[in-house]
Amino acid sequence: MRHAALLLLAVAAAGEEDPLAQSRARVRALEAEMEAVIAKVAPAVGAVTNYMALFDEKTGRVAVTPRSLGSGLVVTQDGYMLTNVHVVEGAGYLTVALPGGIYPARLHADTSQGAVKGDIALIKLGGDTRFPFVDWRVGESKNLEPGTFVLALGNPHGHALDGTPMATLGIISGNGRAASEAGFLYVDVIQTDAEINPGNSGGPLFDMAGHFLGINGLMSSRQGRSNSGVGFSIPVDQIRLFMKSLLKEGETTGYGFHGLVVDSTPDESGAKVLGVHGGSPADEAGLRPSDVITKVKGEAVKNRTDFVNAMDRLPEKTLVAITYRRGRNVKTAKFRLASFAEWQESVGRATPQGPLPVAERGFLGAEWNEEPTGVYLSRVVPGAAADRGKLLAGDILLRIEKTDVPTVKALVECLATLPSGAKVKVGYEREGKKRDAVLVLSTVAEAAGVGQ
Amino acid sequence: MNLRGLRGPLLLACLTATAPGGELAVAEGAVKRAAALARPAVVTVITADQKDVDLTGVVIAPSVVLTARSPLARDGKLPPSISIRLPGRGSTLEASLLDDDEKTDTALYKADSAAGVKALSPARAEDIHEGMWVLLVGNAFGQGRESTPTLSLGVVSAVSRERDQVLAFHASAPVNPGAIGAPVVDLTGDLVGIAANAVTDDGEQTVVVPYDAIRAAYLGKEGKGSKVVGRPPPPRPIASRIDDDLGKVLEDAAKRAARVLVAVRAMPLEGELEVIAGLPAQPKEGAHGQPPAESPPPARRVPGALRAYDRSSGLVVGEDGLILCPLRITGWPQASRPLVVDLVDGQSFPATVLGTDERLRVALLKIGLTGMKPLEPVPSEELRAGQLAIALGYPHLRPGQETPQLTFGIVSRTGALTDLHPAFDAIATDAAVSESNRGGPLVDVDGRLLGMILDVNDTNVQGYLTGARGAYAGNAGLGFAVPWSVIARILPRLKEGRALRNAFLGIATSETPQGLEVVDVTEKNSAGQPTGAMEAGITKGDLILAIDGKQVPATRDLKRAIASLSAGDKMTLHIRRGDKEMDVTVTLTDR
Repeated sequence: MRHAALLLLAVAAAGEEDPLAQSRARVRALEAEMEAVIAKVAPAVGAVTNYMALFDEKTGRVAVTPRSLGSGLVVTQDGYMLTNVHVVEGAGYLTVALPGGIYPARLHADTSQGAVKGDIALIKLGGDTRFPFVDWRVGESKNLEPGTFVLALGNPHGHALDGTPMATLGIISGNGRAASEAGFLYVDVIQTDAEINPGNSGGPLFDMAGHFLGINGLMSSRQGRSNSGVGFSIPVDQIRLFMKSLLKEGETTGYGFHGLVVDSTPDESGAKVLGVHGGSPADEAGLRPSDVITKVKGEAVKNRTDFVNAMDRLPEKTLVAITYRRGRNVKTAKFRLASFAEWQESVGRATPQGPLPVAERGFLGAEWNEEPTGVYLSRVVPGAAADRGKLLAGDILLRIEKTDVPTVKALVECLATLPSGAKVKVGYEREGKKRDAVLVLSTVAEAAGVGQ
Repeated sequence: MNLRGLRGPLLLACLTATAPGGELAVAEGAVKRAAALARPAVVTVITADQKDVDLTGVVIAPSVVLTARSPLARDGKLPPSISIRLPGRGSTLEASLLDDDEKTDTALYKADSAAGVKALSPARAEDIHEGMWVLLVGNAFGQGRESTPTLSLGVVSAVSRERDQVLAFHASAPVNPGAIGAPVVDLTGDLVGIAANAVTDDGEQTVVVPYDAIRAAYLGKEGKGSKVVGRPPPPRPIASRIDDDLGKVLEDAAKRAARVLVAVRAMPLEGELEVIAGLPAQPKEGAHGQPPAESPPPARRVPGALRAYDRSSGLVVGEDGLILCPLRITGWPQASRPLVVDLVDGQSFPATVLGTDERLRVALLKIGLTGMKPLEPVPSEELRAGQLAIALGYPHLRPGQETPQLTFGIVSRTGALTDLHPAFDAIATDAAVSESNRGGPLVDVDGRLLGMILDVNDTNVQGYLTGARGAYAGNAGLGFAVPWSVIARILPRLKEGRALRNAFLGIATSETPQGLEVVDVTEKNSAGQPTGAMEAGITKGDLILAIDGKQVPATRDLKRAIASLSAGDKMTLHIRRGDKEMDVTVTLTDR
């Protein structure tokens, strides 16, 4: 950049005298630094398209159609990408546009099943390539000073669907904010005035060193879904608490459950317990209504916001130490945050199993016709479950595991409870002979013929 | 579904971060310091009946809080005492009315409990200028009520001495509910003014009442307030910090851009009547949804009147009186209305339409004035995401009667817009762009032309581009400009008087693994002429491999290639028919 600055000065000297030459050179230097930050991180920022699964029960036909858009950041070389749950939830199929092309992706794990419905999701990109990435282990959001310059990168309104993200500039407006939308709770999050619009969800926030600060996911607005300079970003420090378990196959971690309901004391000397859920970790640790919590994990708690920021951002199984006042006594309690689902189960509130959402179901990868004699396969999707199990068009389906499927209704009801990846025994009839096949049920993407 | 080439390894390395340094770090340091100075003096003012939409106030003297008047007033009277909350102090505190002033719409309350809070020192009115960086520190949407106030960074977009007000623009700092009365400070942490209970007419800029005017008002009344508002501060030493540099450079760039910024008015045709009162036609609303302190009478409209938006900005593009403006102003595609161009010095000229372009939605006008100086353009190879960008517009599109306001941001992205609007390359910016900017210039820090701000008023493009729906078509931090390089390509033809239409090839295609397959050929366009594809003998089953030497694997690539041309242009298709590959040149028609 020094070269550019010198050049500018030279031009000014040769032509008319420019009293602002020096100021201009400094502004140009600042500009070049900003350009460099964007150029550096942009290759890891993708545009996520969430495709809804359309399933025609009558024919068995599966198709996908774009439903919503978002953003994401590649955080490992093998293609794990951070985004928001609300960007990918319910997706039958995901694609991510990066400068190198468009990649299929699948949801790997998320934080939506905890005591707080968290909005952190990890998706895995397909494609046999090494991805440019921003390391999730680097970067810090603790003690972010208000006024710090930030850049938000993402895909507002789908303008980055060709893989080139949009960058918007702003500052850290505040820290330790809480906000909520559509059931998602954001606790202890960063507030920024960098413009964040629909489609920016799941996209990263960076500082001017190119450090990853958080995932943008929410905004407050005067005008519907139009930015008013108040956006929220889940901080990287909070994300990091969940990352190890999110990266593991088959393990999900939600926000931890403590069981306390609190409010600020009138003099804001702490958080007063209003209620304790029976059988919760706080209950078992002996906390009772009217106790006043003054510290969580060594950090002072002066009001409800402090308490929420300190407690509700933690994953399940985290060990917490709480200091509280009871009457004139100061006490401490130590307990491990519970898994919300396990606690619900233990108090008998588990929800009954019903049919799975279409996006999570397993599919045969075949289309069918109902005849008086049974359900005939009319088409087999190449590469999907039925095809791999050597089923052919014309086969009559008899049984899935132990359930007879003489009608389409019976077949759909049976399949609706089975997730993709499930191994099932299928009884069928071909040319008058009864046979069996063992199938690994397909994902939506496979069944629609677009999958990995 | 077509997954466009899962192309191989690109950048293998982790995109490692570097330590911040240089001018950016210096500027950032200034913002942080100013924020740290200002935040302790910011007070939440709890309104009695609107618990969740508080106000903001600021400590301006020992135990004295300044805030906005109208949101507190009930039946024109202020409550004798209010509740406030100090940062870092939990409980709410009482404050009693000291003085108030209707003209500046401010009130002073005394809160003895705030004695320990360090008052903000005032900035000098003389130091306030367009382009200067400012911070707004308030409680937008109640955020910060229990912890620390919200910061937003912006620049002073216009200084309007006549109205005794500083119109401060905030690309990122609109006055959201909760932030009325919030202090606006410069980057030394000095108080410039407070956010008024009003927004500018386009709803995009925060109106800031300068502290200078507030002090003068209380001193003039000689009430209790005159004892606490202080005296004007002495001049501050001349600083040479990056933020001062930025302010100066932005102001200078805006001045250069103002020379090419004009307003274009469509005059009513016979039988039409012009809007009687001034713009805008929409009644204003205070930022709280309440009427603003001084509500001007809403514009009266009469049947058949021109709508308020039959005006726009325009851009000088040639020395011999050539002006580029949004197409809609001319009345296109109907017969042209008489047009008038207003210049910065207040002169007005009748204008004639030379050429039009449906694709970029622009018209080239000519006025009888020579010696105008267009801006030097930024070469397209110098365009980069992250470079600074300045947009200019007249708030009411009345040059000569008002000063232009500048808004500031970065280039968010360059390159073609995606499927949603594939017609041309565009420069995206987060500089606030509202109605008054459309057709006006977007410039770089040297005042060179980046492009013309896209007119998105007359099509559904608005919704696509910014997500804005319905009546609200304001700023969301997503502005778009047509790059100069794109305009330059069509300008010669517009000068020749051409009416450029969108191009039409006349084929329907399907994406196959072998390439784009022609599945249908349209015989005639709407005017009954044979289509280009028909003329050139393209038939069903042809595979289109490339256009003008570029591969077109997807339908969208084909659409983009067509959309980059106008009717009458030629394109060369590389096709495969059976075993043969050949080049076919097609002349595009209009639809």
